[in-house]
Amino acid sequence: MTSALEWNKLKRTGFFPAFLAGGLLAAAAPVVNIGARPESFVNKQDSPAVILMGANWQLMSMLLSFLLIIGACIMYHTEFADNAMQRMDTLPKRPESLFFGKCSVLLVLTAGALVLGGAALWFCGWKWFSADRIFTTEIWKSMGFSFAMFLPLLLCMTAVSSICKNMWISLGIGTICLFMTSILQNGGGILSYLPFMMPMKVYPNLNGAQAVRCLIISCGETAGFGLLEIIYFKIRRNFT
Amino acid sequence: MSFLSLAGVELRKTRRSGILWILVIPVFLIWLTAVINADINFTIGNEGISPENNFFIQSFMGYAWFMFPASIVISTVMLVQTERKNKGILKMLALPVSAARLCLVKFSILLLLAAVQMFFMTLAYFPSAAIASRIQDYNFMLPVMDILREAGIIYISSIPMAAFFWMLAVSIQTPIFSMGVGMASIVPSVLLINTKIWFAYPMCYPFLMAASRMHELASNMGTFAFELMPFIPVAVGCTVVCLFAACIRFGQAERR
Amino acid sequence: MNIIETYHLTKEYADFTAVADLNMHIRKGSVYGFLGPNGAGKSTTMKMFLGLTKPTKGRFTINSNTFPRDRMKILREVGSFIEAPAFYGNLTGEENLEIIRKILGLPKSSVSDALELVGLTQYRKRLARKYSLGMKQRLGLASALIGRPPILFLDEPTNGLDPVGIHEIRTLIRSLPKKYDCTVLVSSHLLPEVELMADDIGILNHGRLLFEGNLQELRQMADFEGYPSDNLEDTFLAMVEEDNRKRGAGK
Repeated sequence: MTSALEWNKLKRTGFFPAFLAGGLLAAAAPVVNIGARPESFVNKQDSPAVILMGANWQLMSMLLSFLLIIGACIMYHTEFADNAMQRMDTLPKRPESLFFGKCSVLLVLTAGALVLGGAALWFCGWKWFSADRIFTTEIWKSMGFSFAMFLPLLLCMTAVSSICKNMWISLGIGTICLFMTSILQNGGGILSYLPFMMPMKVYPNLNGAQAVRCLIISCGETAGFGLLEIIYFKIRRNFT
Repeated sequence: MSFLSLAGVELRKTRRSGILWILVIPVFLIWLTAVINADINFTIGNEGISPENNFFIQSFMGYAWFMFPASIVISTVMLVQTERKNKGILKMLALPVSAARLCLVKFSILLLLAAVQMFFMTLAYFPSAAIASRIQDYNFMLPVMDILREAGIIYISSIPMAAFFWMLAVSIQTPIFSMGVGMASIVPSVLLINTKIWFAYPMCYPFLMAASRMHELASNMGTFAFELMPFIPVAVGCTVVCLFAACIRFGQAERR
Repeated sequence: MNIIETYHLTKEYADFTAVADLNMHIRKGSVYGFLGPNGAGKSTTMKMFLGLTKPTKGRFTINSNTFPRDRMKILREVGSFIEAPAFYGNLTGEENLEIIRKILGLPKSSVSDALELVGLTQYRKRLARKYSLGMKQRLGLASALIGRPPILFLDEPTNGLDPVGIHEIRTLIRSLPKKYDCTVLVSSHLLPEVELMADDIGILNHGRLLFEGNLQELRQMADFEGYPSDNLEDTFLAMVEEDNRKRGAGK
């Protein structure tokens, strides 16, 4: 019910075309990259999945992260812009359900964008690497893994957007954090598990234990942000 | 009314917009990370670049690739929103000033804001290099002219990109989308500078200048030279076309 | 002598006609009340006068200047207040007027003069976004009155004002032609308001001018056509209703 309402609220905001365009742009990146200079990639020794993900995932994940940031900002902006939020607060409905409703919309669209990206990578493998079934499995596993890696960012940005009435502040926070990620991405250690860094993880480059660790951390961060948001709503209810 | 006095009026409109903070914070973050990670410059493997050159060019590359273009995008949206938010533009269009002239004056303010940020970026290099030198007990400071030259080249090469972003901001009514399209167009530049048609994509220019300098400084990285033809005519043409389109579109929604 | 005249002025959008074949005549030094229900085409007409929208057909002259040839000349002679007040929220009231003053090349004193005229002097240092609705309205008026232009276009200038404010602004508008020798075109959807301010009245409905003349002539016309004439509000309503009925029948 809440989720369906959230879909309705986003009509004519340009939210859905934005996601489609962003998803297509991210999907176009590997096709253009490999198509423009296939000779730089096809002769490498690694498996096709490692080559393709290594060559493209940084750019793709950055575009998708940016798409998520913008998406989260638009969702709460439609609430704050004409004071609809005030009306929502006066209805017999918990703000938590509003928050998780919005998250569910973003979840579905992120999955959609990842399917587009996966299809593009699969196309590249088929066209330039004559890839086999193992490659196909590897790519879809990568997309599934990346979906889990996007969860902390998704919750974090939706939470930030729900707190900042001014869309420019939430967008600014998202953009600056994303930029810092691009600077820090080569550094390992604990920083590589920050929500903005998680989507950059390249599944085929990780061994089993590393992948499991990433999944556990991702689930932990996601639950943590959800919990923090619930606490924030409780505080807001009691002190404003 | 002269161009300069109109520019003065436009500059006045940016008061209390907080744009200076938006311009300064990224610069601060870039140099803070550079100083904290200054030790990484000693572990650079096979590129053949000296630590001081690496300290300087890595930060400028990160800046030229994303933060400088992103700051320009944010400035364009801020300039356009100042007019649209409370219908200030409607008042402007009802005054004896041509819309195209107003559009060009605003673009010059955009270039000024970009110059201010580049100035902060360059200025902040010196204390950052001094602090890093102190912490690492190694001299990271490069000659002033080298820094100024690089900053100047990156800045000048960003003008066509700024014109493109300005056209986007003027043409797209919803601010978040003009910003989204602008930001999304920055990301692929990292890919496109490696292609033969990089000159057709103005968002590549500043990053290409920084990357080219990086290759000059690193003896083992080979050259990353670029031809001035057809780069210069395409860059000039792109700037003119974008500004022309922006002038036509400026205030058109309000004059419907 | 007429300072503003329109000749078959028409504005059509894709799906409707906002202004249809309008022939208006505004006398120099008069207050012309432009009356009509919401969506009648009053704002569109004023926007055409300011070059904010292009007429589809027809033309107009303002002080013998024609559009689009003399647009800049027209804008130099006109002070305007169209739709909601237009301002920069991040600037104070005074700074907002300062911008307009610089563009119009007016003396420095004109800012304080305009603030004084609309009663905003004591709030001049406050940010415009922190103004109340009425204060924003006054700021919009000040930006139209600054430099005391010979022609004023005021689109529903009393919207959002309290009764005292409405009275003040009405009195101000009424006094302008005598004080500064200017011509005022003021729009409203309230006849009693126009009745108190205007010398001449134009009644617009669905883009068509139903009546033009002074109050005396309006009463005579009402008697002639069989509309109620004791109360002008009733006259106005009856005219608009009759026009709407004819249009419905026409369709």
